[in-house]
Amino acid sequence: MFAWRDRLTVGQKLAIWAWGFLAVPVVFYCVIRFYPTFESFAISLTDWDVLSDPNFIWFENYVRLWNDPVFWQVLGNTFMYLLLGTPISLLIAFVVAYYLDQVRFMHGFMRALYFLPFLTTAVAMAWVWRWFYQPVPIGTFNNILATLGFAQQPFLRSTTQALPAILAPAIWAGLGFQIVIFLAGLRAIPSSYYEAARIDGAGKWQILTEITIPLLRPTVVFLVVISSIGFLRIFDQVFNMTPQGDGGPLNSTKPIVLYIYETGFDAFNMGYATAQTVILFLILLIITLIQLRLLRGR
Amino acid sequence: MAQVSIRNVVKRYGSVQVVHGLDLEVQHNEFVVLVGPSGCGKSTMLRMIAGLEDITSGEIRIGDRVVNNVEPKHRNIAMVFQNYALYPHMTVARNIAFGLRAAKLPKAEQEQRVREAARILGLEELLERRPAELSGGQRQRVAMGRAIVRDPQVFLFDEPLSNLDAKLRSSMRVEIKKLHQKVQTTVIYVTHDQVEAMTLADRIVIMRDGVIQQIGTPLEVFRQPANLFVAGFIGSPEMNLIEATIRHKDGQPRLEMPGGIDVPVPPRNGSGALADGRRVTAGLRPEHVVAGEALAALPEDWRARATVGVVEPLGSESLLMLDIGDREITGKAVDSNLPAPGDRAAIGFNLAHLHLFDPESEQAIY
Repeated sequence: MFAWRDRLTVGQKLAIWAWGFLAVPVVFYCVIRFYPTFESFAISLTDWDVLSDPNFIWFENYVRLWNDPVFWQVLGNTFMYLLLGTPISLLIAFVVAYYLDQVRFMHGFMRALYFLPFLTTAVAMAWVWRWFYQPVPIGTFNNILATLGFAQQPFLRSTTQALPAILAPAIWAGLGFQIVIFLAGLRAIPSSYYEAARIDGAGKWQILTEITIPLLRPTVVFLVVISSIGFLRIFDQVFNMTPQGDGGPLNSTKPIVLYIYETGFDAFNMGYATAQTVILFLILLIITLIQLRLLRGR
Repeated sequence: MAQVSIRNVVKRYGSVQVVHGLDLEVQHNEFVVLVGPSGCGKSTMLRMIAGLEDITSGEIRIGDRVVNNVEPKHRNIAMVFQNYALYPHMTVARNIAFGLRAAKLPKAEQEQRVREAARILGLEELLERRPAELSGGQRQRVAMGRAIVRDPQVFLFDEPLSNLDAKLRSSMRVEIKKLHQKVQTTVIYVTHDQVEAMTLADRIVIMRDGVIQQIGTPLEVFRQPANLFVAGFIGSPEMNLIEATIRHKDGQPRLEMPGGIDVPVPPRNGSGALADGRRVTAGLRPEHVVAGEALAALPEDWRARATVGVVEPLGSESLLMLDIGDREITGKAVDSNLPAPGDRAAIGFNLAHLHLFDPESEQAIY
C-alpha cells in the first residue's frame, strides 16, 4: 500500500525532508535579500529619482562617482574609521580580556560592566558622548582639561579631531562583544598548554606570542571580519554626533553610508545612491575575502 | 644527582584535605610509580612536585634544594601530560625545541639537541609534521622528546598512556622503559593502571584517599601486600578475598572458609598470634587456587571441592569461577582437560601463598 514510499532510498527521503524545512528560509532569503541585491545592480544603471520612471543610463552614475570629490572624501573617511577602529578596538579588547581572564574576584560583574555598552542604543550613547565633547562648562572632557590647566579642545568642531572623537564611542560600544568573544577564545585553550610552558621555562612573553595569540587565530579572524564590516558601515554615531547629522564639519567625518543616505533619501537621487551602495558592497566583499584568506592560514 | 624527597606533604583545597602528610624518598635514577584509583591524590602529588600546585604544608626537595616556593621552570624538571599538551600550531621540531627557545639556547645547539632527541625516539622523519598529522603513539613520543631535550634532573609522567589503545599502550610501556635505561634520570610516573605500575617501576607507591598504602618493589607489593586495599589493587585477575574464621585443632590454627572448606594455616611468622575464633579475611591469588594436574603438587589437606561456575579459557591457561558456599572465587588451571560448568571439581589451595588480613584494620596479619 505504501509501495510509492519504498521507491525512494532512505537518503532521498531524508533529502526531501531537509529541503522541505529549508524551503522557508531559502525563499525568504531569495525574496528579501538576494532579489533586492541584484535589483540594486540594475537600479545603479538608471537615473531613478522615485517620482519619475527610471531611464537606463549605462555607467553614468559610476563615472559621476569617479569624478565626485565628496565621494572620494567619504571613501577616505570610511577607511579611516576602518583602519583606526579595527586594530585599536581589537587591541583594547584583547588586553582587557587577557587580564579579565586572570581575575577571579567579581569576574562576572566586571564582564557584565564591559558588555553593558554593547546593549545600549547607539543613538542614546552618541548623544551622551556628544555632550561629553562640548566646551566648558557642559563638556566633561573639556572640564577635565580645564581643571588640569590644559587648553580646551574643539573636538567635534575640528576637521581633524572630529573623526577620532566620533570613533571613540563606536569603539567603546563594540568593546563588550569583542571582549566576551576573546574571553571565550582564551578559555578554550587547554590549561595543560600553559602548564607545559611553565615547566619548560617559558616567560610571559613567549607564552603570549607562541601559544596564546596563535591559538586565538580563529577568534581574531572572526572579530576582524565582524568589526571591519561594522566600521565600514558606521552611521549612527556620525548621524547623531554631528550638527544636523551631516557628517561635518566640512564632510570631515562623513562615512559612505551617510553619503548614501543623503543622496537617496534627502536628494532622492536613487540611481546615484544605489551606485554608491554597489561600491560599498564590493568593498565589503573584497575586504572580507582578503581577511579570511590572510588570517585563516593553515 | 637528583633524588626527590617528599616530607609530610599536605594538600588542602579549602576545607577538603586531599593529601594527608605524604612521605616519600625517590633515589637518583630511580623509576617510581604512583598508582591508585582516581581521586587518590596521585596526580595532585605529581603536580605539587612539578610546582603546578602549591603545597599546604610539608617540604619537597629536588636534589639538595627545598623547592616548596620555587617556580616550575626553576625546578629543572620535565613533565609529560596525559593529553600530551603538544602545541597544535607548531611543527614537531618547534614543539620539541619550545623549552630550548625559552632557555634562549643558541640556534645551532637547539637544532642539535632536537636532532638528538628525535634520534633517540625515532622521530627524525616526523620533525616537520604538525601534531594533528601524527598518530597517538607518535604524539606521545613527541611529548617525551620535549621532555628529554631539556636534560632535566627529574621526569614527571602524568598518566601518559591513558589515551592510547591497549596494544599501543603495551608497546609504549616498553619504549618508556627503554628511554629510562638510555637517559638514566629520576622518573616519577603516575598511573591508575596497576599493570603499568608493575612493569615499569623500580618501586611502586600505592595510594588511596591521599594516603600511601605501601611502598615497595613490584614483587614486594605483589607478594607481601601490606593491607587489603593493596592486595585487591595489585594483581590481575584480582586476589580472592574470602571471609574466614580461625579454628584451633590439635593446637594448630586452621582456616574455616565458606562452603565447609577447612584448611590448615601453615606455620609462619604471625601464625602464632592467630587466636581461636578470630575473624579474618583470607587472600589467595587465582594462580594459587588450582585444579587439574597442578593439584598433585599440593599436600592432601590443602585440597577441597567446589562447584565450577564459568570456565574462561585464555589459551595458555584457563580461569575457573568457583562457588564455595555463597562466595565466588577465581582459580586457574593449565590443563587442556578442564572441568565443565556445574561440575563438582577437586580444587587445591596453595597455602604457602596465603595472606591473612584483619577485617577491621584491613592490615596484613600473616
